Amino acid sequence: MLENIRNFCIIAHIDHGKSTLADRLLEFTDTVSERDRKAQVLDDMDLEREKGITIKSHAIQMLYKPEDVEYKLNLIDTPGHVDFSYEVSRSIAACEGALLVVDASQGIQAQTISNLYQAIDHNLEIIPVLNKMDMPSAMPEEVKEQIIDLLGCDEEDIIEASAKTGYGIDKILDAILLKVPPPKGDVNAPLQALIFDSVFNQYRGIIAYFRIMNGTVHTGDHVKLMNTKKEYEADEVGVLGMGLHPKKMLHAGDVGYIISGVKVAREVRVGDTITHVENPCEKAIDGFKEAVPMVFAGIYPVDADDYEDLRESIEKLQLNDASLVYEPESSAALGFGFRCGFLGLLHMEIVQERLDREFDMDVITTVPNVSYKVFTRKEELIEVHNPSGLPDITKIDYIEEPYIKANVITKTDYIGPIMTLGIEKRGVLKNQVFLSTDRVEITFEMPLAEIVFDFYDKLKSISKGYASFDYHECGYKRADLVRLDILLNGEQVDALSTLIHRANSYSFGRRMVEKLKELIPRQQYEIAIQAAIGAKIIARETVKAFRKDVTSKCYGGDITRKRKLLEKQKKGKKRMRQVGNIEVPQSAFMAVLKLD
Amino acid sequence: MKRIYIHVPFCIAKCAYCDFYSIEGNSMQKEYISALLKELEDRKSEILWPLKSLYFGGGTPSFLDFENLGLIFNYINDNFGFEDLAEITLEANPENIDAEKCSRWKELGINRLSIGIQSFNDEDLEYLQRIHSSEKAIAALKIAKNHFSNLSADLIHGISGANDERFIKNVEILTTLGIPHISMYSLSIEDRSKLRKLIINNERSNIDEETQARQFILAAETAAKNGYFQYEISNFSKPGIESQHNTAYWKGEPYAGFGPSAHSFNGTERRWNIADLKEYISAVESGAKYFETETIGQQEKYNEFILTRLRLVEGFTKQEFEQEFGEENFRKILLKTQNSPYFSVSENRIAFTREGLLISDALMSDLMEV
Ligand SMILES: Nc1nc2c(ncn2[C@@H]2O[C@H](COP(=O)(O)OP(=O)(O)OP(=O)(O)O)[C@@H](O)[C@H]2O)c(=O)[nH]1
Ligand code: SF4
Ligand SMILES: [Mg+2]
Repeated sequence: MLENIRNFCIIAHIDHGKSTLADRLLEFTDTVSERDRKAQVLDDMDLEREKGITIKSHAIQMLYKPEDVEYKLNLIDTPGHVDFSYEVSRSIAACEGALLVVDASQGIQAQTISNLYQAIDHNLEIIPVLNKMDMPSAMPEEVKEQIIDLLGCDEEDIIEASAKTGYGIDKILDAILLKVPPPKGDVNAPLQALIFDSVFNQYRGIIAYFRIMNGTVHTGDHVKLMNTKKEYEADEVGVLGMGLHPKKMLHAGDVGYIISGVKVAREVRVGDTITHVENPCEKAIDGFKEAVPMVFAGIYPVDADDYEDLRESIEKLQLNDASLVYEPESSAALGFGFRCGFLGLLHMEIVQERLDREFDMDVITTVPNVSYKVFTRKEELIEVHNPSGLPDITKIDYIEEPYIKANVITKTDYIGPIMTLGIEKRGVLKNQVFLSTDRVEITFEMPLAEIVFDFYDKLKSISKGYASFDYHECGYKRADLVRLDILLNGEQVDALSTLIHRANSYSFGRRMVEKLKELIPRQQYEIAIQAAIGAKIIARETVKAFRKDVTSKCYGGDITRKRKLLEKQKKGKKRMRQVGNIEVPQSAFMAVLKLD
Repeated sequence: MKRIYIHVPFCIAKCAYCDFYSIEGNSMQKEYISALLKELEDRKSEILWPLKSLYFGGGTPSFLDFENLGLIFNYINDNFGFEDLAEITLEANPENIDAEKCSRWKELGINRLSIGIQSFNDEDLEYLQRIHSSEKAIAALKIAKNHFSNLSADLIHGISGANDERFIKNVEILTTLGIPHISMYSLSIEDRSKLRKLIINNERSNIDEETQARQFILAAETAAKNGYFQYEISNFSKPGIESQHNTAYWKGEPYAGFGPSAHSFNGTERRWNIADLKEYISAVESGAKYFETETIGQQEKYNEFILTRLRLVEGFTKQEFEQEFGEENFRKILLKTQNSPYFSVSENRIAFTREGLLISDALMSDLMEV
C-alpha cells in the first residue's frame, strides 16, 4: 500500500509557475473536471485570485494509473512570497519529495535558494523543473547551469517543461513515481498523525489537515491531541480532492483531513499530534518551529464594541494562518485591541483583508514596527513591540534593534544602484559573489526596520524587476532611536507613534504630517497635525475645516441619487475611528507605509 | 399621483456646468412627443385626477414648439384635468421669451414661469457658457412680468471671478424687477459637465469654497433684507408663492415623471426613466422596458425623510417624525441634534440653523442609517 503513495510539494521563487504547474498535473490526472478548470485552480481564496499570488499552501490528492498500478499522489502547492514561507516549511514536513520549479527566463532567484534549503534540511528528494520553456526569453542552457551549480545534479535530472502548454508534464509525473520515495511508516503501529494546517468552517467547526506517520484512523474513532490532551470523536476523516472526500479509513503515508465537531479555535494547534485514546502512540511528533514575527502592529476594531468579536475572529483566522501571533493590548486612542506579529507587510495586509472578508471585521491596523530590546539604567532588559510601550526616556540606558542579513540576487548592471540603496538603508556590505558573468549575489547586514517599509518596492523599481531578495535575522545591535509622536489638535495619538533612527527623524516627521494631511478628510473643525520628539514639535500641518458642503440643486425629484451619495459618505465615516472629536480613517494609521 | 413632471430634453446649446439630461437642438420633437404621449397613455392608471400640479422641466421646455406643447396639454386636459388652483410651471430660458409666446403659454394654462437667468453679468454668462446676454435676460423678465404674476428666476452664486458685490447686484436686479420667487444655487462642478474638463485643462479657473460659503450666506441675507423668506435650502419667495410642485418633493408626496430621465415616486417605489432620448423613444414605442425602479424600505424611507425634510427651512415636526418612525427614534434624533450649533431644536421641531444649512450634506449623512 505505502509503496503506491507519493507525497510531494511544489516549491519555487514567487511567480515561477507553481500553481500553473499544479493545474496541468491536476488535468493530466483528471482530478479536476472539465467544468471546474480555471487558471491556478488551487488558489481558491478571492484574495489569491485578485492578487495573482498564492497565499496558502493547498494540498490535493490525485489518483494516477500510468499502467496497471494506481498511485495516490498527494500534491501540496506552496506560496512563493517570503511573507508566507511558514506555509512552505510546514508543507515540506508532510512530504518526501519536492518539485523545485525554476522559471527558465528568470533563473535561480533568492527564494528558489531559501526554499530549496528548507527542503534539503528535511531530506526531501528534489526534482528540478525548468518551467516556462515556451517563453521566447527562456535561457535553458544558462539556467540549467545555475541549477547544476546549486544542486550538484546532472543535466539529465532537470526536466524541461511549460506549465502553460503542458509540455513535460508526463516526464514530471514519471520522475515523481520513480524518484520520490514512498512514505515510510508502520500501518500497524499506534496512530501518529501530524497536523500541518487547519481551517475554521462556519458549519462544520474546525477542519484539521494532517499527514499520518504511523497507524490508521477510521471515521468514528476516539482520538486525542497529544499536546492539548483534548479528546474527540472523529466524525469524519477523508482526503482532499477538489473539496473534501470522506473515507472510511486512512493509513500511514496518507495526507487527509479530520472533522470532529471542535468549535473552539484554541483547542487545535498546528504541529500537534493526533493519536487514539485507546492505544496511543508513545510520543508526539516534533511539531514545527514557531514562526518568528518580523513586524508588529496593533489591530483594533473600528467599532470599540466589537473587541470580543475581534478576538474570536483572530483566533479563527489563526487556525488557517499559523504564522500569525497576537496578544491583547490597549491604546489610549483606540481602546482594546491586539498586538499582532507578522512575517512582513504583505502578511499584515492579508490578515487585515481576511479579517474583513472572512469575518466581516472592520479593523484599524496601527503603524507597524519591529521589536526592540531596551536596556534600562537598572540593567533590566525589556522587549518592546510597541513604541508606546517604551519606558520613560530617562530610564533608558540604550536600545538595540534587530538586524538581518539580506541576500540580493541581481544582474551586474544594477550593482551600483543597489549598493546605494543598501547604504541609504543603513546597510553594511558583507559579501559580493559573482554567480556568473552577469549575475551577482550581494549580501548586506542592515536593520530589519529599514527593510520592513519600502525596501522591497524600491529594490524592484531600481532593478526594473531584476533583483530578488531574501533575509534572515542575525541578531541585535545598538541603535540611536527616538520616538516620534503625532499629535492631533494637541492630543498625542499613541497608535501613530513610531521609533525612528535619530538621523532620519526630522524628515520622517515632516513627511508623516504631510501624508496625514492628505489622508484625514476635512471636517467641521480645523485639525492641527503635529509631529513631536519629546516635547519638541518638529513639523506641523493643518487640515482646514470645510466651509460649505451642500448640494444646492436637486434635480426634478431625483432623491435616490442624492440619498445614495450621502449613504455612501456615512458608510465611509463609519469606517473611521473617532479620536477625540476627530474622525481618522483607517488609512491614516498606515500612513507611515505610504510616505514618498 | 396628482402631480406630474415632464422632462423636455432639448437645449439650444449645452451650458458648461450642466449635468441634466438634454441634447442640443430640437429636431427630434415629433418622435419625442409621440413617445411621451404613449408613456402617458401607458401609465394613465397611475394618475389620480384632477391634477394638483404640472411641471415642465428640462432641458429647455420653452424650446418646445407651441404646437407640440399643445398636444401634451390636449392629452392632459382630456384625460386628467386640473384642480382649481393647480400650479402649472414651465421652465423657460430668456432667449425663448417674447410677448407672443407668453400669451400663448398662458392660454394653454401655464400659470408659472421659472426662468433660467443665472446671472446678469456677461462675464459670468460667458464663464457658464449661457447663450443669452444680460440685456436679453432683463428684457425677457420684463415681458414675463407682464403676463405672469407667479414668476421665478434662477441665479447661480460662487462663480469663479464673481465677487460678492457682483453677485448681490444680481439679487437686487431681481428684487427691483419685482420677481417674487428666486432660486439660488451654488455653482458645483459636476462629474459629467464640460466645466469640469475646462477646469482640468486650465481653460476656466476653479471655484473657491470660501467664496461659495460667503455668497451662500449673502444670498440668504440679501433676500431676507428685500422681503423674501427662505423656505428651502436654495429657494426664496415672497409669502404665498412658494413652488408647490417642488415642495411636494421635499414633503414626500407622490409624483409621476414622464420623458427621458424623469423620476417618479409612488410612496413605496422610486422609478427613473432612461436618460437617453433615442433609447427612450425606441423602448417606449416597442414596449420594452425603459426605466429602473427601487423599492423604498424602512431604512431608505428614514434616510429620505432626513434628506428631504431638512432641506426645508422649517424642518420637520415631532408629530410628522413620530408618525413615520415612532417615539423612540425621535428621542434618538433629538439627542444627536439638540446641542449642536447646526440645528435649531425646539420641543416640537427640528431644523437646520443657517450654519447648518451651509454644511447640510455632511450633517444629513451623519444622521442617516446605513
Ligand atoms: N509563458 C508561460 N507562463 C507561465 C508558465 N507557468 C506559469 N506562467 C505564468 O506565470 C505567472 C505566475 O504563475 P503562477 O502559477 O501563479 O506562479 P506561482 O509560482 O504559483 O506564484 P506564487 O504562488 O505567487 O509564488 C502567471 O501569469 C502564469 O500564467 C509557463 O510555463 N509559461
Ligand atoms: S443648464 Fe439648462 S439650459 Fe443649460 S444645457 Fe443644461 S438643461 Fe440646457
Ligand atoms: Mg502559486
